[in-house]
Amino acid sequence: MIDKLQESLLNLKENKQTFFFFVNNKGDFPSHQVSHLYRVASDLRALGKKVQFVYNTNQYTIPSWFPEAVTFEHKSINDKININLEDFIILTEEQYPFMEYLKSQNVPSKRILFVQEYEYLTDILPMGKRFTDVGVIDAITVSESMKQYLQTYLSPIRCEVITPGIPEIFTSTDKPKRPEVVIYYRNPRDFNKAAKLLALKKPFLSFVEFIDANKISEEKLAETLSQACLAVSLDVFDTSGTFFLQTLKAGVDLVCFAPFMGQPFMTEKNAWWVTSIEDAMGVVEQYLQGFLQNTLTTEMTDIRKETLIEEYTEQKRREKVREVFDKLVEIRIKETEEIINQQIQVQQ
Amino acid sequence: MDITVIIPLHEIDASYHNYIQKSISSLSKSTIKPKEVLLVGPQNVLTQLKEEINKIDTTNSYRLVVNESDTSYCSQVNLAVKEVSTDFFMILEIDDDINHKYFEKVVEYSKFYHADIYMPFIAHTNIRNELLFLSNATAWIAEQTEVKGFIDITAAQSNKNYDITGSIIRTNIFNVLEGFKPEIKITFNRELLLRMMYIKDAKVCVVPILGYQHVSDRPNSLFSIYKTQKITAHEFDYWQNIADTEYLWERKHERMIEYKPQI
Repeated sequence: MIDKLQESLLNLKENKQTFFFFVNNKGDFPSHQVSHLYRVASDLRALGKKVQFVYNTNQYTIPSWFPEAVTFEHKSINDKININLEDFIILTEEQYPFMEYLKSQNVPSKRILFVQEYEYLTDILPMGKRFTDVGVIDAITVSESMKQYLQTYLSPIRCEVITPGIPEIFTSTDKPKRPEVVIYYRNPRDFNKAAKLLALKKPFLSFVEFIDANKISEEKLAETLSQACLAVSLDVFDTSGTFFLQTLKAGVDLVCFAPFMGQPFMTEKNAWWVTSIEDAMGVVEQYLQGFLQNTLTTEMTDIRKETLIEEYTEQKRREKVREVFDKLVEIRIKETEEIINQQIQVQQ
Repeated sequence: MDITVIIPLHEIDASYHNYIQKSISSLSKSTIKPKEVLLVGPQNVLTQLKEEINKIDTTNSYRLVVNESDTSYCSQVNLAVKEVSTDFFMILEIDDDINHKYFEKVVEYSKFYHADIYMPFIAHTNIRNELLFLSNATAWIAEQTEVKGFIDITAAQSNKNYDITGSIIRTNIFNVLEGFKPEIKITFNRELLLRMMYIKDAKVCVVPILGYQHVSDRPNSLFSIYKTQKITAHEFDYWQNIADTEYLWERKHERMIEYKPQI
């Protein structure tokens, strides 16, 4: 036993561990959460770490809209997978039953909870159960406000933050703006509702195209945002502000649902804050009329340009991934050393 | 991008003073000035009008182009375009007006989207200034054209609502094609658009700005007369059909076009 522990400790110190990302099948739909997970995995791989994706569903669709995803090894839980003591398993909150299974099978390795949205945190978690019950004491999330939330409800879990890094493809251009409105939403019904409400109220604006941000690849979204005249975010449960950041970098004005969990870069004047689809489309209507008359002021655009978002670059995210995972490996080394010491004391 | 504005004075009655103030005033407020404004019409009208304009607009340079014989809209424009020294020109009808940022927006677009015709969104209003409908905006609906914002020949053929009124047009293409065919009534704009696209492969870009406001029902206007007094349904169909077939012939003098009422 001690020999195995010593071997694992050596592997940890020599960075020979594998990081297993356990994923559920989300279909082939673009998602900020999925892309963030793959990016973190990609950053780890770039640091020379071994990374593998494991799906515990019958089928898994590798996201085609995220081209790098296919370059990772994806295995089914039913395939033969060697998980050792020095390895790390990264799981999302919806995989609580699987965490229970891992515990019941005495699968070694460190578990890391990867939580991006508080909205689904308790969906699968059984009443009265905690993540610490299944051996999870470390978590990674996407914002400081989420960290506070997790520390409030999941204490004593330790929490690290890796904020999304917006790729360089999101950039403003000098190209003239087009009569297009990009809509990001939580509830798929909201997209149709928003577009139809405006067409019903102002038929002469029917030529304006509403582009579904949830259905296009990131590359296409970046291109579209740089030319659209306006963006709309209909997501009160947003926790990372990824779409907000994308619009900031693309230089497009934004009408935004005030999220329950605000972010530091969301200020009073760098978006039109609304609380209903009807209000949102009222602003869109006014904006489009100003766009067509060419009477829009640049007040909001100027404020958005000045919004500090240097923390949300890909480079910053890579640095943070290195920092966070180095820390977690360090914690794991100490945990292993403690177990070895306990074993030695038992033997003595 | 230099632009010349042409104002044809083809329907002059007692009421035109009321309208010309509006159109000239809109021109004076434009954030980008045209290089020149050509007023084309009979000498006596021009002399009187020039004095009026001098009181309304001191920011633009006006030049008179005298046209004594045929005073139709089409022939006046054809005559004036020959005098144009800029690469692009626009026709401003006396009862219409332009958005003060129309030229600015077109210049902005022309830097990225190269075209031979820049069309505005046209707000068709009644004399009470109420919006009746928009034209040209459908060019921005993805299914309507091959490239959003550009009208291709297929789209122009199938959609009769694309309107060249108020467009900023490349001068040399217009002149090479000898301009409008004055024998064609009602649909001369559409025929010219199709001819420029078909024969000269003119690229048409629709700039998303309410650049031009057209009063559709001014009493005694050309179209008002067509609609209310002179044109039967049969004749209207005839001119529509002419526009859709005549553009295949390059020169305006190649064929005689004359409507013969059915007995």
